[in-house]
Amino acid sequence: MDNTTPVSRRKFLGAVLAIPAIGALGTPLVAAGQFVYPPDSLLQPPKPKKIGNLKDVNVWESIKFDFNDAPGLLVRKDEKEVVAYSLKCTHLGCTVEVPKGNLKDKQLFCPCHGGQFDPMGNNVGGPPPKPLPAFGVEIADNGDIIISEKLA
Amino acid sequence: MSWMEERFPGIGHAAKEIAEHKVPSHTLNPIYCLGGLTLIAFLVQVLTGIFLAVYYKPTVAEAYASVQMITYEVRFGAIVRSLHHWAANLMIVLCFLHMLRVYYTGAFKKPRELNWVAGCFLLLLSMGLAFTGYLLPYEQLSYWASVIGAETAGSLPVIGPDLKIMMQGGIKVTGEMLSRFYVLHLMVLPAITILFMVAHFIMIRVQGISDPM
Repeated sequence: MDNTTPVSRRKFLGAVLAIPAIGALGTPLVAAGQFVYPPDSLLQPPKPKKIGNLKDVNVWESIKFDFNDAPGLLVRKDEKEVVAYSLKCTHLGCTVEVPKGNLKDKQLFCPCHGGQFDPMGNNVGGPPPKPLPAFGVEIADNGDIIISEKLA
Repeated sequence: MSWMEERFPGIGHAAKEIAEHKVPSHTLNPIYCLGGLTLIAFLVQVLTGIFLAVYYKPTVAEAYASVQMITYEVRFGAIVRSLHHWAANLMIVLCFLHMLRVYYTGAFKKPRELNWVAGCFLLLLSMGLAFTGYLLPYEQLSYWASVIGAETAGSLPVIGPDLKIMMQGGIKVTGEMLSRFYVLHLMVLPAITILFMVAHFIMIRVQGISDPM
């Protein structure tokens, strides 16, 4: 026998009881966390939304729309292609201003700190660090434009 | 008193000790009242809060209307709501001034470090109560303040996105956030605040009031 320090019976039993005790107290704690974290139904991305028809918008013109309680912009690039993006400035979240009418060779301008974006939503000047976040766009057979949250 | 004394021996002595407790003469100065005034502000909050809770309804459809009713229809409602509003602001101000007094008189030093820590938590809890209470009227000001609060929490590294979801009860500010803040404002935060206050006061009694500078 080597001379290790003896552990008293009382201490040993205490340690044996501590493990189930931590489990018994910890498990409801995890359950409580799970309970308070919102259920999946409250975490669904916003539903796709029809914002207009391809007929309503000429090349280089735009449609402003609301998606998920925030402003967005749709721009028709050419006969077939459209882009849609959020108008929330990537600098500090102000709403970017859109010039009226034809957007060719024009710029979008953020009134708060002078950020500039091209009509495709790319940041081209001022403080914004990133392009405006794009939405998913789908065009139905009848020309309806449907906006959805872009999958990452 | 003797009826109580027969059943709880020593209770008379304890009551006397609380009522006639001696304090050092250097504390006979208004700046030493700031902590007690913070407590009074909190008691005002508890009392007026109970009255407001009688009429307040924490749902998107009814929150604003019920606050309007308290303000314009309930007898003395405007006074009760104003008291709750002003005492909330005062509680933060008094708590902070009390903190300054403790700091500048060096009262946080050994052996009172943990009471300083408890006091810091009490300031944070006061601000938590103020922030959660701000959403409850569900007016434009409350709504956008909560959007900003949630976005700010969401910008924290690592825990941010989950913290934001926990605060909002979903992916944006909705009635779920109103329910959450209602529970925090009426139950969770007051209970934790009372626990910290009791600890704060017991520590004062055990350690005594600090010596003058």
